[in-house]
This record gives sequence, C-alpha cells and structure tokens, in this order.
Amino acid sequence: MLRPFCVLFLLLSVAHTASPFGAVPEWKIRGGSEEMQSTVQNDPEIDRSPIWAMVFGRYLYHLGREMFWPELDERARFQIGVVRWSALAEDLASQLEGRAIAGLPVEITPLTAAELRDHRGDFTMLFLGDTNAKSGKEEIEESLKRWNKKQDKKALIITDGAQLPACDLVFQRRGEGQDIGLCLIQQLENLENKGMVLPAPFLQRLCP
Amino acid sequence: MNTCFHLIHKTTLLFAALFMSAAINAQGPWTRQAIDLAQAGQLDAAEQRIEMALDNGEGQDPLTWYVKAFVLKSRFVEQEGRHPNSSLRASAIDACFESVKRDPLGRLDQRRAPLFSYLADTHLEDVRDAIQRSQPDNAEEPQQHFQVYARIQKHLDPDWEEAPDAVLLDQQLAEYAFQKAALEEAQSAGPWFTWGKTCYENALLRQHDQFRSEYNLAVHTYNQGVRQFKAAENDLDAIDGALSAAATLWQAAADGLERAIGLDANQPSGYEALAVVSEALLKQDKIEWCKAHLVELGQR
Repeated sequence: MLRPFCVLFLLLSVAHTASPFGAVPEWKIRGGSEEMQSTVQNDPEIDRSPIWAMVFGRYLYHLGREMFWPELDERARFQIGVVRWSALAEDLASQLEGRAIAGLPVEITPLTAAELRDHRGDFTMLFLGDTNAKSGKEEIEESLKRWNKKQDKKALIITDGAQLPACDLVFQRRGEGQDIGLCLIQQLENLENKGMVLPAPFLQRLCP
Repeated sequence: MNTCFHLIHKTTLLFAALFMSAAINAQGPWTRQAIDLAQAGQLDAAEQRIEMALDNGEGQDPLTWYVKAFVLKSRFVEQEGRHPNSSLRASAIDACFESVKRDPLGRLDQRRAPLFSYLADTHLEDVRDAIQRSQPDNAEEPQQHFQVYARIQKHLDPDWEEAPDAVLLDQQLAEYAFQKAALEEAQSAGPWFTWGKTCYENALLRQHDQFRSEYNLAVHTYNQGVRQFKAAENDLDAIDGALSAAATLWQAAADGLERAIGLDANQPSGYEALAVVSEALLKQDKIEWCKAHLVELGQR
C-alpha cells in the first residue's frame, strides 16, 4: 500500500518544486484519467460459493436435527455419507464443525461411487449426488445395490433428483429464475420399512 | 509516508532556493520583497508583501498573482499540512487563475502549469480520502474536490474530457459503498447497497466505461444475494425466504450481465459471471449459451 502512495507523492514533489522565479523544469502534463486510475480499486470478484450445495446442506442439517432417528442410541456418531458431491461434503463439514446432531458428534464422509460400493459400514444419512446425470447413473445405482447388500443398512438414503428404487427421499431442485427452491419426494414404503417419518416442515415441502 | 513528505519538503527547499536566486527584473518592488521573504522561508511576511504589492498597483502584473499563488501554496503545504479544507489552497488556485486572466499571451503558462498541476493533484488525493468518508446519499466532499481538480485540468488541457474521470469517481464511490455493504449488510441489502447501486447507475448515465459499471454492479448484486443466503440458517422457512430474496438479486444480476454483454460481447468475464449466476438460478440453457460463447472466445 505504501509504495503506490510514495510513487504518487514523488510525482507530486516534482510539481511542488516549481518555483515562480526560475527556469521551470520540463513538465509533461499527465492525463487526468491516468491520475485518477492511480486511486482505483480492483474490480470485484464474483462469489463462486456453490449455492446449491449450500441449499442442500442446510436442508440436510435441519432434517438431521428434526427427524426422529430410530435406534440412534446404538450409534456413537451421526454419520453422513456424501457421494459424488464434494462441494456439499465440504459445505456440511464447515457448517457442522463443532456442532452435534441429536446429541452426537457429526462425521462427514465424502465418497465416490466406487468408494461407496466398497464401503462396509452404515451411515445415519447417505446422500447421493449427481443422480440426474445420464452418465454414471447406472454406476451409482450399482454401487448403491452392492453397498446395501452388505449387512443390514439403516441409513436414510437421499438423492439429489433421481428416484432410485433403494432411496427413501429425493431433494429436487424446482423452478427457474426468481422462483426457485427445493421440494421433496418421499418413498413412503421405504421410509416406513425403516421406521422413519418426515418432520412436519419437510412434509409441507413435498413436490406437487 | 513520512519519508515521502520529508523528501518533498527537502526537494522543495532545494529547488526553491536555486530558482529564487535568479534575479527577476520585471516585477515591482513589493513583489520583489515578497520573493526575498519567501526565499528566506518567511511565508507570512511574504504574503503580507504580496498584498501590499496588489494594493500598490502591481496587481496588473500576472507574475505578482503567480507569486501570490506560489506563496499561498507553500503556506498550504508547510503550515497547514495540506489540510483538505484549506482556504489557502482555494486562494492559491484563485490567484493562479487571476494570473491567467492578466496574461492573455500566456507568457507564464510554463511556470503556472506545474503549480496548477500540483494543486490539482492535491485535490485528487483529497478525492480519494474523501471517498473513504462518504456516506449513503452524501458524496458532496469528494465531488467538490473533483470539481476543482476538473476545473484545473480543463484549463491545462482544453481537450481534456471530464467524463472518464467523473465515471471513475462514481465507480469508486460505488466500490466503497459495496465494501461497506459487505461488512454491514449481511442479512439484507440496506442503505450502503442502495447507494452503491445509485453510484454505478450515475456512472452509467455518463455513457463511458459502461461495461465495467454494468458488470461490477451485477457482480455486487449477485454477491449481496449470496451473503444474504449464507446468513440464514435458523429454520426451513428462513432458508426458503433467504433463497427467494437472494434469487431476486440474482435475477437482477443476470439482467445486468446480459446488458454488459450487450455492450461488449467480446469480454469473457461477462459470460463467466453470467454462467455462475445462471447456475444459481437453475438456468441450464443460459449456462450452455455462456459456455458456447466462451469457447468461441477461446476461453475454455
């Protein structure tokens, strides 16, 4: 910061030395814009925060807080697996740092589809991202099937759009332009099999 | 900063001593006394002598007015520490213009130009400082300094155009306002945001550097929406409400970026920003459109 100021002052000092009485040093009058430019701040950077990861993250956090979780007392941690959406995993991790859900410390696990397939443990919530993309949809379905086969899985499975047979809940982006938001599709049979019921605020946001 | 001031001071004294030693034969006796006193660093006495010179018929000589301007400028710097509200500086500028009026042939132009430039530059510095003191709907102080700066620039260069610098002033006022909005208006857009928007709209009216004004305004509008959304997390109603309020700002940002692209379709930054905004607004077609243009421009 100091340096540009000094440069400006040095330029000014030349002018200040001008005397009324002697030869005037060669002086080039500087263009106004150039001078004004010396005071200009940089143009702003657009905020590249992942908006929809933040929207989904907040919904997931509130769902975690408000949902009744059967057999939660058997768990040591509130485990959230996030498949194929690293921005969401990062947002959740920063949002939930130092916080607890249902009295349990939170653990966020980012996963690829392949990592899910090989994962042995269960989660409290499992979120599957990028499920609407044509490419890789089969891969994630296959990974989910393989993961589900190992042991008795009780995780609430949520997708970001596709109604996969094994999922319990869909968070769907809706609208365009100024009228945007999230709505929910519940797969009632799956939820009932896990003994889960959506909290009222979420039931008010079911997709039409 | 102090080092710079010392440097200016020392250099000033050195040059003043050198130049003042040259004998000046043209002016009257009071003016000559003023020069001697100024040379000795007795600025107050020098000013008194120059007033005597004006009272005793030496005011017809443009050099007398120039010496007055120089003495007042020196007092402004050395005695007042370049105070932004200095009446000495204003009087120095008036004296300089009086010298111009009495010098139709421009004999002293070469001498006056550095003095004018110096005085203009001090006003420019004060513009920058006054921007930091501006308030929503009140930019009187920076604008006043700018007007003096502009008046001198127009004199020094009759072809000088005011619009580019006036636009820069509006843009800088807007940037300062948006800085304050970022610090103080995380929950919702308030007076700083509105003022920043007004300043960019003022800049747009001047028909210069319009892409930057449109683009920057759009980016700030989008960022304000993001800040507001980030601040809401109490419950689903708050989140949905914040998303809705943010989406209104994002749509305004998208409209602004469309206008910016309309002004200059070859700026990749317009498409890049519009792609980010369109992602927030779930406008997949527009994202693809931006990507296609970026490819055309060789950006991706």
